[in-house]
Amino acid sequence: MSPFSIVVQKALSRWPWVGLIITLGFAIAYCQTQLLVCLPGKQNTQRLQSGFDALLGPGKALVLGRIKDLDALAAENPNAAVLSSGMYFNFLPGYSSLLVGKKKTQVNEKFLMVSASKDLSLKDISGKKVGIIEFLLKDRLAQFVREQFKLSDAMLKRVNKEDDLLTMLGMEAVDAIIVSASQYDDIRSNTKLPLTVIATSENNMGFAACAAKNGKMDTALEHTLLKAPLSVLRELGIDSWEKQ
Amino acid sequence: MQSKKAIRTIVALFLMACATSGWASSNNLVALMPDEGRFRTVLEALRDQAGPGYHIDVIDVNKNPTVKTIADRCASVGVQGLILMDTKAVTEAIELQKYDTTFKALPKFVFMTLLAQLSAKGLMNSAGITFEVPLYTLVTNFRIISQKDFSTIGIFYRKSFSHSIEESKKLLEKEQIKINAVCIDCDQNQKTSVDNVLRAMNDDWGQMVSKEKVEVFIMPADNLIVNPKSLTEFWLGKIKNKKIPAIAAIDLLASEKFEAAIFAADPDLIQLGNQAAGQIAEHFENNTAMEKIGFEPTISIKSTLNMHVADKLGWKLKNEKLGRITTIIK
Repeated sequence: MSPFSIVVQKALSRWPWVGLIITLGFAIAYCQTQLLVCLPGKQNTQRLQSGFDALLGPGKALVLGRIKDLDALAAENPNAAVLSSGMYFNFLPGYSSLLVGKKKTQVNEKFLMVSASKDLSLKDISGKKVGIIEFLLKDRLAQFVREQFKLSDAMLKRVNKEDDLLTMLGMEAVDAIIVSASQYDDIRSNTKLPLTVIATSENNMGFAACAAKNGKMDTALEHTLLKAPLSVLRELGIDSWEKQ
Repeated sequence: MQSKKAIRTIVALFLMACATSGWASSNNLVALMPDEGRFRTVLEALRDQAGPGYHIDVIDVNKNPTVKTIADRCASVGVQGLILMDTKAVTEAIELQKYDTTFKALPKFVFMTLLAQLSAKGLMNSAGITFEVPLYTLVTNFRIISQKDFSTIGIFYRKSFSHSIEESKKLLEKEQIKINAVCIDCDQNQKTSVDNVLRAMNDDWGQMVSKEKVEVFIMPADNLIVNPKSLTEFWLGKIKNKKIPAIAAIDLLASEKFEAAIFAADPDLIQLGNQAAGQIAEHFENNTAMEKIGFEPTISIKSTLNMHVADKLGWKLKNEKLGRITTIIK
């Protein structure tokens, strides 16, 4: 019998202990998570995960692709800091932003409603399909559109990738899309459609921000994040951090 | 003995009550689909995105269930809608409507079916997502990463795809891209066989390149136009000789094994499940009529870029845009 088979047999004969050890291993890894990251729209969650693994060490940060996963994990993991879009924290009670992302000199930007026709206005969009990144949970997203664009009856088509917004507009699957001003610049460079801004959000919205429950973040984590290389910051859509 | 029977009955009733109370509080759907990997991926994403408010039962169409079996199962769960994946499922649903007319009014969502809108013609009260990667998406996504601002693309197509070609022409015109499309079976006298199609493609290729100035070719997901014979006897040679890139709606063609296409795209199945959940929620939560939801194109893709092919053809790419590509073969 090979040494490997002996090890496997022994492990199987003591399976409750092996199971316990595996569970404890997962539990320890889970408890180690210091930072939950979720910036929906960014396709490159894997690249972002590698960036944070290199910055903080493996298992210290968990990058998520969907806001509903962040919502669930933040509730289960109250000691972890959360890095997400600035407006997400408006809906996360008890959390205060400690680091806010900056782009050049700006700390926030407007959101825009954009169509692919020069003949459309905001009143034409009433009851129509509008594409948007799912950066907030479903009901909050509808609230955001209602409050910021005074549009209560749009049929929101939610997507997880920024690239899909332009596809939806070009394929006439939606009548308009909602994007941040910086996303709009990127979209314009990818198309020859006659894009037109038909409405601008009431308020400015923050870029990526890092917040913690009761405003208490691990000092070492904060220092490391402040020293994050430009490659990681660019993935977050910012140039630098500003301490609050 | 009697007490044992009574306990069993109580347990059975308890389990039924648990099950039905769960169903009663949710929207009960039945999915007719092949129980295969990629269909399961879409269903899992759909379930996850739709959330606990939806209970979805699965019937494997590969097991050839009878119409009565399907109808009985639907009745037992109090079905409120059908999810249909693949042509076989759509055919079963059409039979179901004939078997019991009450199924006509039931909302039906058609996903992962080629030419979905055409297949679902006999279905009442249906909506869905077309499964093919739209030409618009394929072409515009390739232009975004290309340094060359190409404006004319060429495609060979079958008559059954005429509608899709006309739609794509209209959409791509807004992007200032012209489609030079050649139908390979629109001439009724011509018998469509692999050899005939090869001959027609060879006859038209020269004119498409020299007169119509086609800069990029599309390899459609059509086994009459792209098959082992046409790959070796037509596509690979033409691409190499004229240094004109081809882009494909099947990622395999851009793989290291084939190295025929420079760029390819497939539907992103997880996002397709999310898109599907969006349609279902739109109907059940916002009471939007199925007719208004209609048939939408697949939006999200997974793309492949083959750098070997790009280098061989001398096709320059925008490095700053390559972050959007899912798989880069170097």
